[in-house]
Amino acid sequence: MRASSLSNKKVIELLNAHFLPVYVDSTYLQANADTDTVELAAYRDLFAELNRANEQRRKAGERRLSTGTVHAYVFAPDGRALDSRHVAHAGPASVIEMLEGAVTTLKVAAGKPIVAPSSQSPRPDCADDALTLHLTARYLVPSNSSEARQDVKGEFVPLDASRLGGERSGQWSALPSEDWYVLERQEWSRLLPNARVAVGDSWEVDLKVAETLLTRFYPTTELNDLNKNRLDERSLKLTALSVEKDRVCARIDGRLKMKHPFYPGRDDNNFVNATIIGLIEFDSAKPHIHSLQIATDGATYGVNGKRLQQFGVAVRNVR
Amino acid sequence: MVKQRVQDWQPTKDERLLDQIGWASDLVKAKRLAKKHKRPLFVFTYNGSTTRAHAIALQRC
Repeated sequence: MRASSLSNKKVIELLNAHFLPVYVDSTYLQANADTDTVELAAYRDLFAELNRANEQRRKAGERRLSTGTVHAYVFAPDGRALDSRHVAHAGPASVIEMLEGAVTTLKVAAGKPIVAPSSQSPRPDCADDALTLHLTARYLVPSNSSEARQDVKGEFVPLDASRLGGERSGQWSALPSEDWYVLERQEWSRLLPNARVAVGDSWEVDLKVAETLLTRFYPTTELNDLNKNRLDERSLKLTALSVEKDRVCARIDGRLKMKHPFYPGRDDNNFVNATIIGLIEFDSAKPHIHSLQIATDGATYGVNGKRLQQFGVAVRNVR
Repeated sequence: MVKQRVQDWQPTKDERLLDQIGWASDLVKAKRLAKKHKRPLFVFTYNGSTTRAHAIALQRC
């Protein structure tokens, strides 16, 4: 739904002008011990209200509202359940019909968004000397594909995003996924050499740090529990390209082979296979990392011997 | 090559249209604001992750 209705400009316009939008991760809310009990109670109240409304509808011989954990719902300001759509039936036309129906029924005047729109993947808070990294993972298509972005060079390139927001834009491969990680000083300092280096010198990155960096290198799937990944091969080697006083620029070369199931709770033989390339600029005296950029090269995901999906991961430091 | 690739693969504005919606930060706040401003509540529920809170940009949903 993120790639279809929630990327549709008419849907966005209606939500901002007439509604109070909110999204809820049903899995996290119900399965996590740290869940805010007040938030969980509010979530359960939604379903209690949906059950009440459906009982009323049943008695009146009316169509019952669809319910479940992957849905779009509309509730009146007083909390009454008005309408719903399962995500499989929540294409832009259907959602627009649901939203416009509620606006008409409730006579809701248009206005500005009550909550100011903002990034839904904000940079996490961290200590001043931490290294904050942003990760983008996306499926890639052959550059001669009709779905390929034309402004990017390469054998495999990102999908053309102008197709988002349509009735058939809901595929799981349509959008990139974004993630953040924060390396504390004692972690990022293990990327650096133990002694002064000269041009051409190489050093291997500590395996634990390489694992921390590379365990997030997978395409968009339904599984984001990093403990389920099994890293069979992971290595990162740095080689100094230039040294000017204490400022060093080094290239990064690495390798990753990782078992990463597609679904939670369903073991499969999907593997990530990737060559890793990157650049790092650091000050060896302070020490301080000025910039770090890492990307995959020729990365694939899938079951070996069967059709493999091309994908790419790009990581960059953000100040 | 690395810098260009990292730049090419960044999310585009069209891929971040979700950010143009004025989402409430949580359900309790959304319900309170909906009542206060007499606006209907739109709730999108999805199956995300047991371990990652507020990570919709990471999820397939």
